[in-house]
Amino acid sequence: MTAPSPAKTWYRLDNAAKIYPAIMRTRHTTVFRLAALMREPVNPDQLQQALDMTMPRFPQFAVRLRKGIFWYYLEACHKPALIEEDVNNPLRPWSRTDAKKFLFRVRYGDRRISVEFFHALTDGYGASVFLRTLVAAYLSLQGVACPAGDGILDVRDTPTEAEREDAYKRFSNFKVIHRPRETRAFRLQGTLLPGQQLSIICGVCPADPVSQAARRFKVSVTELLVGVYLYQLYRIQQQGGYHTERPVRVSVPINVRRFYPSQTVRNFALYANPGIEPAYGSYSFEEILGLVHHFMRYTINEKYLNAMMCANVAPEKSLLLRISPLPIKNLAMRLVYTWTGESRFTSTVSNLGVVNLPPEMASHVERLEFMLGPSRYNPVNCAVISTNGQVVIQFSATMEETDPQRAFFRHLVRLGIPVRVESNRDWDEFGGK
Amino acid sequence: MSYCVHCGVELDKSEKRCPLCQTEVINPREPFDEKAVRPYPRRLDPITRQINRRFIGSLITIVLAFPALLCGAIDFSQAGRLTWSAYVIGALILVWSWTVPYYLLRRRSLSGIFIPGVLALLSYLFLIAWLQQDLSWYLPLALPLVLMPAALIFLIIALVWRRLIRGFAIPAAVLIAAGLLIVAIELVLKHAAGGLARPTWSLYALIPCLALATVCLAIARRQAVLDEIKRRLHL
Ligand SMILES: [Zn+2]
Repeated sequence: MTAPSPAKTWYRLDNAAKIYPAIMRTRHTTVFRLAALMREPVNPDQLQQALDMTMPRFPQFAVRLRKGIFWYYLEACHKPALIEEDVNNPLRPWSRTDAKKFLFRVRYGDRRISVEFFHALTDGYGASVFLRTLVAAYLSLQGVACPAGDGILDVRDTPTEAEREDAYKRFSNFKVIHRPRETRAFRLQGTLLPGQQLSIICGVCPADPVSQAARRFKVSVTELLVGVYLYQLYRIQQQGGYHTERPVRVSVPINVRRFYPSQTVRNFALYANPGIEPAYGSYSFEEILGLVHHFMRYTINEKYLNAMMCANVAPEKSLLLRISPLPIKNLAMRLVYTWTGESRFTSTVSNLGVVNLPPEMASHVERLEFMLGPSRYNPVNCAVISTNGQVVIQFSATMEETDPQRAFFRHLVRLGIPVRVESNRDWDEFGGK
Repeated sequence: MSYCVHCGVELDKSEKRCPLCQTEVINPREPFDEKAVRPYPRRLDPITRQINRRFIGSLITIVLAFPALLCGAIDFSQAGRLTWSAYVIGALILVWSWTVPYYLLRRRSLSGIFIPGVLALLSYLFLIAWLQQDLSWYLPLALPLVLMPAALIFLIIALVWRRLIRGFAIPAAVLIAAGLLIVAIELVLKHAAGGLARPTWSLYALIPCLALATVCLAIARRQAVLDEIKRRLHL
């Protein structure tokens, strides 16, 4: 598995990545961000040096997106990657002027090192490996040695073929193809923030009360958070003058690596969309938690996921789709995505779970943060990550109203979970809104 | 540390109001600290919006190119050259020239979209005349009948865009233009037929147009009448 492989000059997009260049819009960036909040202010020069050290370890990220006749592809690019200053509205989409640049950005704020990834490159787990390796390299420049392993790669190792495999293709067994049938879901509506803005609200909770609350209801932490969110979205739907019969669904990405022995640092995630049907009657919080719990148990197992994975890989095998030119493919993928993608759920809760940091690193990193980019159909998205005994819940929204975020955090407080909130909203700047 | 009295969440030092409910932080012991480090800087990343428009432009191109190529191929395989399919292809190019520049032009302007469109229309009519090997109607009829309305439409849109005419002056301008256009059309038709170029029937259209335009202009000048109309007829 560790055999060195010759340097590649181009890469195919993996199965999940193929859709992202086609559906990217100004307000649907298909970009996400992971950040490490350090305990000391970040030194930009050392961070740049650390990035230069890290890049050779991740050749599959040193690429830019190019158009072929039939598919997009990733072309190796040997320019140095440059760090950028942090901004108020991160997660800018890759425009034509950025076409010659890398598909990720490394930014530094006051105490924050953040990486923004175009989803075609990797998923949340892959990005967390990159960020942890980068932070380890940065700390090593400051004289703190962090051991490799457990999601931190040794920058002196040679990259392997296994790290850049398309794991979807390798593991789908084609015993059966299953695509869940879903109807159009309830959609949140509100005042769109002026063009360039993004509302970020971040809640930090201690991990113990969260897991205690989850244990009290006999569910996992993800299920608890999804249940709380679903219940509050459901209440907003029932009170807010919306179409009250549409199903409320939340999309939950699942890291499939835990079912398959893949070392890939590219995309390897699938989705489960738990939800409720308000047309059937009114739901209590406990009922919703139970539904979410059992739905997740039903969905998240190797056999069911493989059947879903086969449904995603199957179109790639069809000759007709493969030989149709890229513009037609883009059109087809957009239409399919409009019918089966984002309109089938109300929001996303992406829980990256507990990300372990070795003690040497944990003493210099206060916490990690995870943020999803704005999407076109769903104005509010939620991302969760746990490190150092803290659960960080970050909402990113393109909508001015904060009703879902407020209802969610208030519910956590009522469950006995203390929440500390911070945001990117600057009240003087935005006229008190 | 401060808590939001409304939500019960603890607030970061940098928060002046609760980001969830906008309730101002009131803590006499620890007032809001202007200098507290904000988690995100104030600088905004500029976003260029181009992705969406270009997509629609290329989408229209594909949708139009497909039947054009198909017709061309069928026609060529049967006749060995382009015969009837030239009409189809020309029409599709015409549709393309009216729709796609709107999506592809970096800086949209009226003249940048309108003038090429009119030229495309004239070229298409010329193509038809040339294919029928009868150019006699092109100069005396097609050319003036396209250019005159085009010039009037261009003028009115330009005036409205520049806000030189507004409100009830717009229907007045449209009516005057329509009346004059009808007269001009009659003159062109009679000239092409070789008769005396003197307006007769078009005057019956011109007079009501001018009368209505006068009414519109009169209304436009009287704010009180305008308000009354708005009050009674608002949608
Ligand atoms: Zn509040």
